[in-house]
Amino acid sequence: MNPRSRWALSLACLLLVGQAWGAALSIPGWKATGQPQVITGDAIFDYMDGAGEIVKACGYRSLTVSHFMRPELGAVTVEQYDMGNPANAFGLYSMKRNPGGRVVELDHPAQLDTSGLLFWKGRYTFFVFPSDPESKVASQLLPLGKMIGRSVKDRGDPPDLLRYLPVEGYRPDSVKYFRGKAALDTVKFVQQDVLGLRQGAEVAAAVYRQPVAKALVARYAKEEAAVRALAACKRLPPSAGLQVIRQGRLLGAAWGTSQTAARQLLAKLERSLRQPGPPWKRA
Amino acid sequence: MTYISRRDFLKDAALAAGALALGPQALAADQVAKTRVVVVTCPDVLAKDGPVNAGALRKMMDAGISALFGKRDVKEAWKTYIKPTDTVALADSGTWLLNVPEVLTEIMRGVSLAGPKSATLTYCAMDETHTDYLGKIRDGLKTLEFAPSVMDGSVYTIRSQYHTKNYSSLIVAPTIKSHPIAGVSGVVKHLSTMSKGGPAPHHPNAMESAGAVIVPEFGKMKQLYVVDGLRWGPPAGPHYYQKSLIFSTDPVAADVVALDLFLKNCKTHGEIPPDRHRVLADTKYKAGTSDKSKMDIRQIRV
Repeated sequence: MNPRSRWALSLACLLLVGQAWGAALSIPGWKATGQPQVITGDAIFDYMDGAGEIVKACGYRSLTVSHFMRPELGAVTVEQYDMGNPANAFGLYSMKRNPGGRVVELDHPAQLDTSGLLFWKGRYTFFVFPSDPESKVASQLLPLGKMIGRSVKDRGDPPDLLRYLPVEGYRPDSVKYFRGKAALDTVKFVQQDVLGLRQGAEVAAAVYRQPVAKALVARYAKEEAAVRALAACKRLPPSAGLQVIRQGRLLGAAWGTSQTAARQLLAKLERSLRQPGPPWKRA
Repeated sequence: MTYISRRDFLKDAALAAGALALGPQALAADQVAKTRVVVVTCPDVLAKDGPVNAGALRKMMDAGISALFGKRDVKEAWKTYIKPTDTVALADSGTWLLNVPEVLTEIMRGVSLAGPKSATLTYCAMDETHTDYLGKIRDGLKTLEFAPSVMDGSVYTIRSQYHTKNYSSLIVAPTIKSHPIAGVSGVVKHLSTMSKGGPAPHHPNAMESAGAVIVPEFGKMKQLYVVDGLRWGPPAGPHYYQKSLIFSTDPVAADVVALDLFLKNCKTHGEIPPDRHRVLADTKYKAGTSDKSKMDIRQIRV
């Protein structure tokens, strides 16, 4: 690496760390306990082991873990993921939410259950959870989330890629957005990286009620990558159950409990790849 | 899978102990060849949000160890596995879905019955943030008159130090939970977490290579697995109270049986095939058996 490149890299690292530290939270009425822990790169595995693969697959830049306390309520931990942009922030939210979980309204739909409050705003994804699930603080997570949300100026929108998915028959709150095979494995496990996700393609995958099937759309930087992915998918044995189409840089795939359902959904997907709908406001 | 009552179990244990005393030839060929897995279930051991029934847990532990080693007497059963020269390490489940603390203290009590040279509870270093959990273990061990020094958080680090120690016997007590890249975590996945390289190299493709570490890194030690199945969980905490403990000296067999039980009431994460890394631990890495037809699975209710 030449001196100029090294200097540029050092500056970038400094800016990244500064950005992460700059994002350290303060919450009115709550006392911060200890120093926030800032995690970047593969250090995520020291914090959360295998789940770190999913965070990385969603493009995280840093994670800041802060602890807060109110003596009369108890202690909470706030995980603040800086995802770099709103699309990735939604992506991590979409990967961490539980199917069928309780949805509450913050700036965007959020998920609240006994383990904690999960939400996103702007380029950040937050997970707020009580140290003791039995403490009074568990009932205060929603107002706490609202206060934390106010610290982020921009609301942000869901990823543009979602508009290439069919809307008809979509099961609400089921879409996932990510980059990377580890995340794909959770929606459709194929041993090989047939979609070529190690090259950084973005993916949106969703569940459909009618027909009962699942679909994904992958967008590649170059059309050749989509062509290669299509060919790789077509080489899969029929037992993989994956039906695929391509439209320029976009690859669409559908699979389901029956070939017929997958075929029906693929036909809808083909139409939405050609004529995408308006941007999704709620996902 | 065989269901046996406690009375039948005691009779069976006595017969097995007698057969062992006569030597391996006295056992039927199929009994010798099959890997034993013991599942002990007790409806009264704990309830949601309730305390652990210590008496019930002890009965579960005693019944499991006795059935596993074919001894009627609990102390003799532990002595079958642990010798006076042994240096024993007990590894906990690590963070995210913590053990029920009493399970660990009961295992330590059992180990002490056999009188090994030393016994250490190597808890995961990441547990340090769970002060309540570690406090309960410390209190439990103190009640059982263990010195505080039996707890060591410096071995089970991520990229662990087990390979630098000379433990002759390893006891592992994993919990089972849905997991975002393994589908369902368990014994095999847990051993990759406890390996000297850490779990990260084994993450790809639903942790298909998790079983690769078992023979090279832990094969020189005697191994005992006590799966803490009192409750199954998603990563953030328990969501189903199974109230079982699963015992085996075979990591893969224990894991396969535990997964079967888990999937009766809980689901894998997304569409990840949770059996894949378990089967590969057998077929590719020869770390145990995943074939249930080659297992002698005992179900005990106490």
